[in-house]
Amino acid sequence: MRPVIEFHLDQSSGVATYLQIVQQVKEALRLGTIDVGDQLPTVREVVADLAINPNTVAKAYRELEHGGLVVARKGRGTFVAHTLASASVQHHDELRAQLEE
Amino acid sequence: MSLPPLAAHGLGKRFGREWGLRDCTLTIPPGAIVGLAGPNAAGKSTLLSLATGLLAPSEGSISVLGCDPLRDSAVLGRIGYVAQGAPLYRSFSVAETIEFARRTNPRWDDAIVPEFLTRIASQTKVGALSAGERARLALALVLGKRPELVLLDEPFVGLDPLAGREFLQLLMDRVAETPTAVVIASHVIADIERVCDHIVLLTRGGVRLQGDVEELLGSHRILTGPRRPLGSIRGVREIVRERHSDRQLTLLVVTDRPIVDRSWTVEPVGLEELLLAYMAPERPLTPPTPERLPLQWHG
Repeated sequence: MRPVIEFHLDQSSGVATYLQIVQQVKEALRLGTIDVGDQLPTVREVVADLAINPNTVAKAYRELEHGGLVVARKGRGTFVAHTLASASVQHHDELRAQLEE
Repeated sequence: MSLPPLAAHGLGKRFGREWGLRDCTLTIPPGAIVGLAGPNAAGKSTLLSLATGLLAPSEGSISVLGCDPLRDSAVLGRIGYVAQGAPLYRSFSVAETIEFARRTNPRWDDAIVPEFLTRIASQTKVGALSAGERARLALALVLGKRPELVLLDEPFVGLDPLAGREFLQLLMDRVAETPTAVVIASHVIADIERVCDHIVLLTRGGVRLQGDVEELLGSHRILTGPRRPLGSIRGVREIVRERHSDRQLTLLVVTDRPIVDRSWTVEPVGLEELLLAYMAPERPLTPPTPERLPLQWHG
Protein backbone atom coordinates (compact mmCIF):
# COMPACT_ATOMS: atom_id res chain seq x y z
CA MET A 1 0.00 0.00 0.00
CA ARG A 2 1.35 3.42 -0.89
CA PRO A 3 1.70 5.92 1.94
CA VAL A 4 -0.90 8.70 2.12
CA ILE A 5 1.80 11.33 1.86
CA GLU A 6 5.27 11.47 0.35
CA PHE A 7 7.65 14.03 1.73
CA HIS A 8 10.16 15.99 -0.28
CA LEU A 9 13.04 18.09 0.96
CA ASP A 10 14.47 21.40 -0.11
CA GLN A 11 17.99 21.33 1.21
CA SER A 12 18.79 24.90 0.26
CA SER A 13 15.77 26.46 1.95
CA GLY A 14 17.46 26.97 5.31
CA VAL A 15 14.32 25.51 6.92
CA ALA A 16 15.13 22.68 9.32
CA THR A 17 14.32 19.26 7.87
CA TYR A 18 11.90 18.33 10.66
CA LEU A 19 10.01 21.58 10.10
CA GLN A 20 9.70 20.84 6.40
CA ILE A 21 8.02 17.54 7.28
CA VAL A 22 5.75 19.25 9.82
CA GLN A 23 4.78 21.90 7.26
CA GLN A 24 4.07 19.33 4.56
CA VAL A 25 1.76 17.38 6.87
CA LYS A 26 -0.07 20.57 7.88
CA GLU A 27 -0.38 21.62 4.27
CA ALA A 28 -1.85 18.24 3.35
CA LEU A 29 -4.26 18.53 6.27
CA ARG A 30 -5.32 22.00 5.13
CA LEU A 31 -5.90 20.81 1.60
CA GLY A 32 -7.72 17.76 2.84
CA THR A 33 -5.48 15.30 0.97
CA ILE A 34 -5.00 13.48 4.26
CA ASP A 35 -7.72 13.13 6.81
CA VAL A 36 -8.56 11.91 10.30
CA GLY A 37 -7.67 8.24 10.70
CA ASP A 38 -5.04 8.16 7.94
CA GLN A 39 -1.74 6.62 8.89
CA LEU A 40 1.40 8.65 8.26
CA PRO A 41 4.32 6.71 6.77
CA THR A 42 6.42 5.02 9.46
CA VAL A 43 9.75 6.50 10.48
CA ARG A 44 11.55 3.70 8.68
CA GLU A 45 9.55 4.28 5.49
CA VAL A 46 10.43 7.96 5.48
CA VAL A 47 14.07 7.19 6.25
CA ALA A 48 14.23 4.61 3.46
CA ASP A 49 12.60 7.06 1.07
CA LEU A 50 14.54 10.25 1.83
CA ALA A 51 17.77 8.88 3.32
CA ILE A 52 17.49 11.20 6.29
CA ASN A 53 18.18 10.86 9.98
CA PRO A 54 15.46 8.84 11.78
CA ASN A 55 15.71 11.23 14.73
CA THR A 56 14.54 14.01 12.43
CA VAL A 57 11.40 12.14 11.40
CA ALA A 58 10.67 11.21 15.00
CA LYS A 59 11.07 14.85 16.01
CA ALA A 60 8.66 16.01 13.30
CA TYR A 61 6.07 13.45 14.39
CA ARG A 62 6.50 14.43 18.05
CA GLU A 63 5.92 18.05 17.10
CA LEU A 64 2.72 17.11 15.25
CA GLU A 65 1.62 15.01 18.20
CA HIS A 66 2.28 17.92 20.53
CA GLY A 67 0.01 20.07 18.42
CA GLY A 68 -2.72 17.44 18.71
CA LEU A 69 -2.78 16.79 14.97
CA VAL A 70 -1.64 13.17 15.16
CA VAL A 71 -1.53 10.39 17.72
CA ALA A 72 1.16 7.75 18.00
CA ARG A 73 -0.20 4.31 18.75
CA LYS A 74 2.49 2.08 20.17
CA GLY A 75 3.59 -0.61 17.78
CA ARG A 76 1.06 0.48 15.16
CA GLY A 77 2.14 3.84 13.86
CA THR A 78 1.19 7.48 13.73
CA PHE A 79 -2.35 8.44 12.80
CA VAL A 80 -4.06 11.69 11.91
CA ALA A 81 -6.27 12.79 14.79
CA HIS A 82 -7.36 16.23 13.72
CA THR A 83 -7.77 18.00 10.42
CA LEU A 84 -6.92 21.57 9.50
CA ALA A 85 -9.18 21.62 6.47
CA SER A 86 -11.89 24.21 6.71
CA ALA A 87 -15.45 23.06 6.34
CA SER A 88 -15.48 24.35 2.80
CA VAL A 89 -12.67 21.99 1.74
CA GLN A 90 -14.41 19.07 3.40
CA HIS A 91 -17.52 19.78 1.39
CA HIS A 92 -15.80 20.32 -1.94
CA ASP A 93 -16.65 16.87 -3.25
CA GLU A 94 -20.23 17.24 -2.22
CA LEU A 95 -20.48 20.67 -3.82
CA ARG A 96 -18.88 19.44 -7.01
CA ALA A 97 -21.33 16.56 -7.13
CA GLN A 98 -24.22 18.97 -6.73
CA LEU A 99 -22.89 21.17 -9.53
CA GLU A 100 -22.79 18.22 -11.85
CA GLU A 101 -26.41 17.34 -11.23
CA MET B 1 22.97 9.80 31.49
CA SER B 2 24.91 7.51 29.20
CA LEU B 3 28.55 8.13 28.34
CA PRO B 4 29.30 10.19 25.24
CA PRO B 5 30.17 7.86 22.36
CA LEU B 6 33.17 10.03 21.56
CA ALA B 7 34.90 12.71 23.60
CA ALA B 8 38.28 14.39 23.22
CA HIS B 9 40.08 16.88 25.42
CA GLY B 10 43.01 18.96 24.21
CA LEU B 11 43.74 16.17 21.76
CA GLY B 12 46.70 16.56 19.42
CA LYS B 13 48.76 14.37 17.13
CA ARG B 14 52.14 15.36 15.74
CA PHE B 15 53.76 13.78 12.70
CA GLY B 16 57.40 14.78 12.87
CA ARG B 17 57.37 18.55 13.03
CA GLU B 18 53.85 18.95 11.69
CA TRP B 19 50.70 18.74 13.75
CA GLY B 20 48.07 16.56 12.09
CA LEU B 21 45.55 17.60 14.69
CA ARG B 22 45.74 20.08 17.50
CA ASP B 23 43.62 21.56 20.30
CA CYS B 24 40.77 19.20 19.62
CA THR B 25 38.17 19.29 22.36
CA LEU B 26 34.78 17.86 21.56
CA THR B 27 31.89 15.81 22.89
CA ILE B 28 29.48 13.87 20.76
CA PRO B 29 26.04 13.30 22.31
CA PRO B 30 24.61 9.75 22.49
CA GLY B 31 22.64 8.72 19.42
CA ALA B 32 23.84 11.67 17.36
CA ILE B 33 24.60 11.47 13.69
CA VAL B 34 27.61 13.67 13.38
CA GLY B 35 29.00 15.38 10.32
CA LEU B 36 32.74 15.74 10.79
CA ALA B 37 33.42 18.52 8.33
CA GLY B 38 36.47 20.47 7.37
CA PRO B 39 38.87 21.10 4.51
CA ASN B 40 41.42 18.50 3.45
CA ALA B 41 44.30 18.12 5.90
CA ALA B 42 42.26 19.54 8.76
CA GLY B 43 42.79 16.36 10.76
CA LYS B 44 39.53 14.47 10.21
CA SER B 45 41.21 11.15 9.38
CA THR B 46 43.73 11.65 12.15
CA LEU B 47 40.91 12.09 14.64
CA LEU B 48 39.22 8.87 13.47
CA SER B 49 42.52 6.99 13.63
CA LEU B 50 42.99 8.22 17.20
CA ALA B 51 39.44 7.13 18.04
CA THR B 52 40.15 3.61 16.85
CA GLY B 53 43.53 3.30 18.54
CA LEU B 54 45.42 3.17 15.26
CA LEU B 55 47.37 6.21 16.40
CA ALA B 56 48.44 7.29 19.87
CA PRO B 57 47.83 10.91 20.90
CA SER B 58 50.84 13.23 21.19
CA GLU B 59 48.92 15.28 23.73
CA GLY B 60 45.51 15.34 25.36
CA SER B 61 43.08 12.47 25.60
CA ILE B 62 40.30 10.72 23.72
CA SER B 63 37.65 8.32 24.92
CA VAL B 64 35.23 6.20 22.91
CA LEU B 65 32.17 4.69 24.59
CA GLY B 66 33.81 5.70 27.86
CA CYS B 67 37.03 3.76 27.17
CA ASP B 68 40.56 4.60 26.12
CA PRO B 69 40.88 2.96 22.69
CA LEU B 70 44.62 2.29 23.19
CA ARG B 71 44.53 0.77 26.66
CA ASP B 72 41.18 -0.96 26.44
CA SER B 73 41.19 -2.50 22.99
CA ALA B 74 38.07 -4.58 23.78
CA VAL B 75 36.08 -1.43 23.01
CA LEU B 76 37.12 -1.75 19.36
CA GLY B 77 34.66 -4.65 19.03
CA ARG B 78 31.87 -2.16 19.71
CA ILE B 79 33.05 0.32 17.07
CA GLY B 80 32.49 0.00 13.34
CA TYR B 81 35.12 1.87 11.36
CA VAL B 82 35.42 2.20 7.59
CA ALA B 83 38.68 3.85 6.55
CA GLN B 84 38.92 6.06 3.50
CA GLY B 85 38.47 4.14 0.25
CA ALA B 86 36.82 1.20 2.09
CA PRO B 87 39.92 -1.03 2.05
CA LEU B 88 39.04 -4.73 1.68
CA TYR B 89 40.92 -7.82 0.47
CA ARG B 90 40.61 -7.53 -3.29
CA SER B 91 41.29 -11.20 -4.01
CA PHE B 92 38.53 -12.41 -1.66
CA SER B 93 35.09 -13.05 -3.06
CA VAL B 94 32.11 -11.28 -1.50
CA ALA B 95 31.07 -14.53 0.23
CA GLU B 96 34.59 -15.10 1.59
CA THR B 97 34.76 -11.55 2.88
CA ILE B 98 31.50 -12.00 4.76
CA GLU B 99 32.59 -15.38 6.12
CA PHE B 100 35.80 -13.76 7.36
CA ALA B 101 33.78 -11.08 9.17
CA ARG B 102 31.43 -13.70 10.60
CA ARG B 103 34.29 -15.68 12.10
CA THR B 104 36.22 -12.72 13.47
CA ASN B 105 33.31 -10.90 15.11
CA PRO B 106 31.68 -12.60 18.10
CA ARG B 107 28.63 -10.31 17.90
CA TRP B 108 28.12 -10.88 14.17
CA ASP B 109 24.54 -10.45 12.93
CA ASP B 110 23.78 -12.35 9.73
CA ALA B 111 20.47 -10.58 9.29
CA ILE B 112 22.23 -7.58 7.83
CA VAL B 113 23.72 -9.40 4.88
CA PRO B 114 20.88 -10.06 2.40
CA GLU B 115 19.51 -6.54 2.67
CA PHE B 116 22.89 -5.06 1.85
CA LEU B 117 23.99 -7.33 -0.87
CA THR B 118 21.01 -7.46 -3.17
CA ARG B 119 22.21 -7.23 -6.75
CA ILE B 120 25.74 -8.42 -5.88
CA ALA B 121 26.70 -11.99 -6.82
CA SER B 122 28.39 -13.58 -3.81
CA GLN B 123 31.17 -15.19 -5.89
CA THR B 124 32.30 -11.84 -7.33
CA LYS B 125 35.84 -10.90 -6.35
CA VAL B 126 35.99 -7.77 -4.23
CA GLY B 127 38.46 -6.26 -6.70
CA ALA B 128 35.83 -6.46 -9.43
CA LEU B 129 33.10 -4.61 -7.49
CA SER B 130 32.07 -1.10 -8.43
CA ALA B 131 32.86 1.68 -5.98
CA GLY B 132 29.22 1.74 -4.82
CA GLU B 133 29.12 -2.03 -4.30
CA ARG B 134 32.38 -2.01 -2.41
CA ALA B 135 31.11 0.80 -0.17
CA ARG B 136 27.93 -1.20 0.53
CA LEU B 137 29.95 -4.32 1.34
CA ALA B 138 32.23 -2.37 3.70
CA LEU B 139 29.16 -0.90 5.40
CA ALA B 140 27.58 -4.35 5.76
CA LEU B 141 30.74 -5.67 7.42
CA VAL B 142 30.73 -2.80 9.87
CA LEU B 143 27.01 -2.89 10.70
CA GLY B 144 27.10 -6.68 10.99
CA LYS B 145 29.22 -6.14 14.10
CA ARG B 146 26.20 -4.42 15.67
CA PRO B 147 28.38 -1.49 16.66
CA GLU B 148 27.42 1.18 19.18
CA LEU B 149 29.51 3.73 17.32
CA VAL B 150 30.08 3.90 13.56
CA LEU B 151 32.99 5.91 12.16
CA LEU B 152 33.07 6.51 8.41
CA ASP B 153 35.96 8.29 6.74
CA GLU B 154 34.96 10.03 3.49
CA PRO B 155 32.51 7.26 2.49
CA PHE B 156 31.18 9.17 -0.52
CA VAL B 157 34.44 9.64 -2.39
CA GLY B 158 34.15 7.90 -5.76
CA LEU B 159 30.42 7.18 -5.37
CA ASP B 160 27.97 8.57 -7.89
CA PRO B 161 24.99 10.43 -6.37
CA LEU B 162 22.70 7.41 -6.62
CA ALA B 163 25.20 5.08 -4.93
CA GLY B 164 25.75 7.73 -2.27
CA ARG B 165 22.02 7.95 -1.62
CA GLU B 166 21.70 4.15 -1.39
CA PHE B 167 24.59 4.05 1.04
CA LEU B 168 22.86 6.59 3.30
CA GLN B 169 19.52 4.83 3.06
CA LEU B 170 21.05 1.55 4.25
CA LEU B 171 22.93 3.29 7.03
CA MET B 172 19.92 5.30 8.23
CA ASP B 173 17.60 2.31 8.05
CA ARG B 174 19.95 0.47 10.37
CA VAL B 175 20.21 3.43 12.71
CA ALA B 176 16.41 3.66 12.82
CA GLU B 177 16.29 0.11 14.14
CA THR B 178 19.04 0.25 16.74
CA PRO B 179 20.22 3.47 18.36
CA THR B 180 23.78 3.98 17.16
CA ALA B 181 25.97 7.06 17.11
CA VAL B 182 27.49 7.75 13.71
CA VAL B 183 30.37 10.00 12.74
CA ILE B 184 30.74 10.71 9.03
CA ALA B 185 33.87 12.57 7.98
CA SER B 186 33.36 14.42 4.73
CA HIS B 187 34.79 17.48 3.07
CA VAL B 188 31.65 17.72 0.92
CA ILE B 189 28.92 19.15 3.10
CA ALA B 190 26.12 18.45 0.64
CA ASP B 191 26.81 14.73 1.13
CA ILE B 192 26.16 14.79 4.86
CA GLU B 193 23.68 17.59 5.49
CA ARG B 194 20.70 15.34 4.80
CA VAL B 195 21.44 13.16 7.75
CA CYS B 196 23.56 14.84 10.38
CA ASP B 197 21.96 16.39 13.44
CA HIS B 198 25.29 17.44 14.93
CA ILE B 199 28.29 19.12 13.36
CA VAL B 200 31.95 19.20 14.26
CA LEU B 201 33.93 21.50 12.01
CA LEU B 202 37.67 20.91 12.10
CA THR B 203 40.13 23.37 10.66
CA ARG B 204 43.89 23.39 11.04
CA GLY B 205 43.45 25.51 14.11
CA GLY B 206 41.36 22.88 15.88
CA VAL B 207 37.61 22.59 16.38
CA ARG B 208 36.22 25.73 14.77
CA LEU B 209 32.55 25.02 15.40
CA GLN B 210 30.49 22.26 16.98
CA GLY B 211 26.90 21.81 18.00
CA ASP B 212 23.39 20.75 17.18
CA VAL B 213 22.56 21.52 13.55
CA GLU B 214 19.16 23.02 14.28
CA GLU B 215 20.54 25.24 17.02
CA LEU B 216 23.31 26.42 14.74
CA LEU B 217 20.89 27.18 11.90
CA GLY B 218 18.54 28.85 14.38
CA SER B 219 21.18 31.20 15.75
CA HIS B 220 22.74 32.27 12.45
CA ARG B 221 21.25 34.71 9.97
CA ILE B 222 22.25 36.44 6.77
CA LEU B 223 21.74 40.19 6.86
CA THR B 224 21.69 42.26 3.72
CA GLY B 225 21.50 46.01 3.61
CA PRO B 226 22.95 49.16 2.16
CA ARG B 227 26.67 49.58 2.75
CA ARG B 228 27.43 51.60 5.83
CA PRO B 229 30.05 51.86 8.57
CA LEU B 230 29.41 48.96 10.91
CA GLY B 231 28.55 49.76 14.47
CA SER B 232 26.79 47.30 16.71
CA ILE B 233 23.50 45.86 15.47
CA ARG B 234 20.84 45.08 18.03
CA GLY B 235 20.38 41.33 18.26
CA VAL B 236 23.76 40.48 16.72
CA ARG B 237 26.25 38.79 19.01
CA GLU B 238 29.00 38.21 16.49
CA ILE B 239 29.75 38.85 12.85
CA VAL B 240 31.16 35.69 11.28
CA ARG B 241 31.65 36.98 7.76
CA GLU B 242 31.35 40.33 6.10
CA ARG B 243 31.13 40.85 2.37
CA HIS B 244 30.38 43.95 0.44
CA SER B 245 29.88 45.33 -2.99
CA ASP B 246 30.03 49.06 -3.68
CA ARG B 247 26.59 49.61 -2.28
CA GLN B 248 25.56 46.51 -0.45
CA LEU B 249 26.71 44.78 2.69
CA THR B 250 26.08 41.09 3.39
CA LEU B 251 26.77 39.75 6.85
CA LEU B 252 26.63 36.29 8.31
CA VAL B 253 25.95 36.81 11.98
CA VAL B 254 25.25 35.00 15.22
CA THR B 255 22.09 36.40 16.75
CA ASP B 256 20.99 36.39 20.35
CA ARG B 257 17.67 38.15 19.83
CA PRO B 258 15.44 38.84 16.85
CA ILE B 259 16.80 41.62 14.66
CA VAL B 260 14.35 44.48 14.57
CA ASP B 261 16.28 47.02 12.51
CA ARG B 262 14.17 47.30 9.37
CA SER B 263 17.09 48.46 7.21
CA TRP B 264 18.40 44.89 7.18
CA THR B 265 16.88 42.06 5.22
CA VAL B 266 17.13 39.02 7.49
CA GLU B 267 17.28 35.53 6.01
CA PRO B 268 18.06 32.04 7.27
CA VAL B 269 21.29 30.38 6.20
CA GLY B 270 21.85 26.86 4.85
CA LEU B 271 24.29 24.50 6.53
CA GLU B 272 26.73 24.45 3.64
CA GLU B 273 27.05 28.22 3.49
CA LEU B 274 27.34 28.41 7.26
CA LEU B 275 30.20 25.93 7.39
CA LEU B 276 31.99 27.46 4.42
CA ALA B 277 31.93 30.82 6.19
CA TYR B 278 33.54 29.32 9.28
CA MET B 279 36.03 27.37 7.17
CA ALA B 280 37.38 30.48 5.47
CA PRO B 281 40.65 31.55 7.04
CA GLU B 282 40.18 34.31 9.52
CA ARG B 283 41.73 37.37 7.96
CA PRO B 284 41.16 41.07 8.11
CA LEU B 285 38.81 42.36 5.47
CA THR B 286 40.76 43.53 2.45
CA PRO B 287 40.62 47.28 2.05
CA PRO B 288 39.33 48.40 -1.32
CA THR B 289 42.21 48.98 -3.73
CA PRO B 290 42.63 52.68 -4.38
CA GLU B 291 41.72 53.49 -7.92
CA ARG B 292 44.53 54.93 -9.99
CA LEU B 293 43.00 58.05 -11.39
CA PRO B 294 44.97 60.38 -13.57
CA LEU B 295 45.65 63.64 -11.81
CA GLN B 296 43.02 66.18 -12.52
CA TRP B 297 42.88 69.86 -12.01
CA HIS B 298 39.92 70.77 -9.81
CA GLY B 299 40.69 74.43 -9.49
